[in-house]
Amino acid sequence: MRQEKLTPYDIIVRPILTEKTHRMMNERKYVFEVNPLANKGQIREAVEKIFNVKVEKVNVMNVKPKPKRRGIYTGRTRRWKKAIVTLKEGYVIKELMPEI
Amino acid sequence: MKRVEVEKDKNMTVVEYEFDPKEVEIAESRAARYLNDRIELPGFRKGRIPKSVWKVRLGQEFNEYVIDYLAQDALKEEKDLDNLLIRPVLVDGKVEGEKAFVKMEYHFEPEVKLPEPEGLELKAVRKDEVLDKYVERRLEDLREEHALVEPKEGQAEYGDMVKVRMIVSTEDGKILRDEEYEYVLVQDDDRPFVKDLVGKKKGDVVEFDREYEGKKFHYRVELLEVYSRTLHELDDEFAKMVGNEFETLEQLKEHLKEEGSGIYDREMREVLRDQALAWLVENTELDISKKTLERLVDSAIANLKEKGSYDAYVEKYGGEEKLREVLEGYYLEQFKEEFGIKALAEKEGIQIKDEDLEKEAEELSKLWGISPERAKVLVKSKEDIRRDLEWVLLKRRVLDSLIDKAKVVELSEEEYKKAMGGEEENEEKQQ
Repeated sequence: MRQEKLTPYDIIVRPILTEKTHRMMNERKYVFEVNPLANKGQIREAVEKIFNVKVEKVNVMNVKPKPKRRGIYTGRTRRWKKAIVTLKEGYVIKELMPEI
Repeated sequence: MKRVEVEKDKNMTVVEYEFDPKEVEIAESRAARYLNDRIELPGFRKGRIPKSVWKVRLGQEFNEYVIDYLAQDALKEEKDLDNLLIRPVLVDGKVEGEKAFVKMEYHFEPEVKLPEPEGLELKAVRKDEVLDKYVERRLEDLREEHALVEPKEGQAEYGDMVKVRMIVSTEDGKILRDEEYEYVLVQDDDRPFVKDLVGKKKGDVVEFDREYEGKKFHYRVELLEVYSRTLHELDDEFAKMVGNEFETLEQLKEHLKEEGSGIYDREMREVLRDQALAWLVENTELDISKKTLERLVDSAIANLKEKGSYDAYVEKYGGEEKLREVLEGYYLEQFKEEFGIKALAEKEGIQIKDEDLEKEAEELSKLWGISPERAKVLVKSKEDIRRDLEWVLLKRRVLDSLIDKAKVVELSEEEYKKAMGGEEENEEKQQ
């Protein structure tokens, strides 16, 4: 079955904003949740297009579901794909780090 | 911070402040601290969310917090804000790049132009005429009060006194009241325990139901006795019966005249004060900006909307436009009264001292039903009571000073009614 082409906005689901990722932004590393079907090349292209920056490298990992329990109910968190995007020297994503 | 006065209209001044990057940064840190104290975000420990994250998450809303802090800084810089009429209004604020701009509106107490009291004419009803009527009415009341009461056979009539046993019970038969009463059957009283008793004889029973707050009550009124009432002739004998101190009817009339004279003086003084106040409000000019009144009306309308009574008021006055007009007129009148009185007090050197308040507290203690000492302590310790009393006394003294300067024209009751009614008609026409 032929897969439809993913647009940049389908690839980048959301930025992950936590204390840790905020610290990483100082090293030009930005963390995103990405489409599980996207590859490194597509992620690089999407970030460059959406945020108008140059990407140095992309690291991806699949986050495994973790078991969760709420009272008597047990379940699992969802599976998702994380990408750590490192930008080239001198670039910054202002939408996520406005004060740099 | 740069401060520029951009507009001035009567009592209103608009000031624009420009903040440099350092000042903006400090305000941003304060805003971030404020948010950190109150809000938690997933992924961050409490209180550890950086300023930049707040900017990303809240966007323009974060700038509003920043503007609020900058507006506070601007207020701290202003020195002469003691005589503000309403709270400063933040009209505009924006963060542009590293700089920020804040625009504030200050509404001060307006300048007052007092009218000259020369030619002020107040109207009063002639005292002797009022007193004659008062004595006449009081004598009639006393005759009713001292009527000769004798048991009577036959039917009760209007003007008779009756003794009844009244039993009030609920729908399910529970007796709430079972008491004896004596009262006069007055002609215009339509209540069933008056009207229905006319024509009844001793021993007759009248029963009826009445409804209070949605509940039905049953009344059983048994006529125990009927008394005829004979009114005394107005003569010296009658005067002696009213009080041992009176030997003749003339003495009684003289006493009633004195009593009425005190009432007349007090009431006529109030009438003259009302007229003087109306004159003051009508003729005082205020240098007040239209914008000040608009701000007050806006806030009153917002208040009505919050309380849920806005629609009812709009309907009452036939549209918001009309309601705004009425509110504006109300505020203007209130300010003319307040600032007119204050300005006149200053001009005449009228002040309210502690001893004046104590004296008034003594008078009020009778009304409040407490000891004069307790009333004095209350007035001293309660700021709001003290302020209210100060205002009442100041207003009274200022109006009395106006009355002293005015020409008081004494009119007959008919002329007075015509003169005052005529003015009302004119006002209606103007409206």
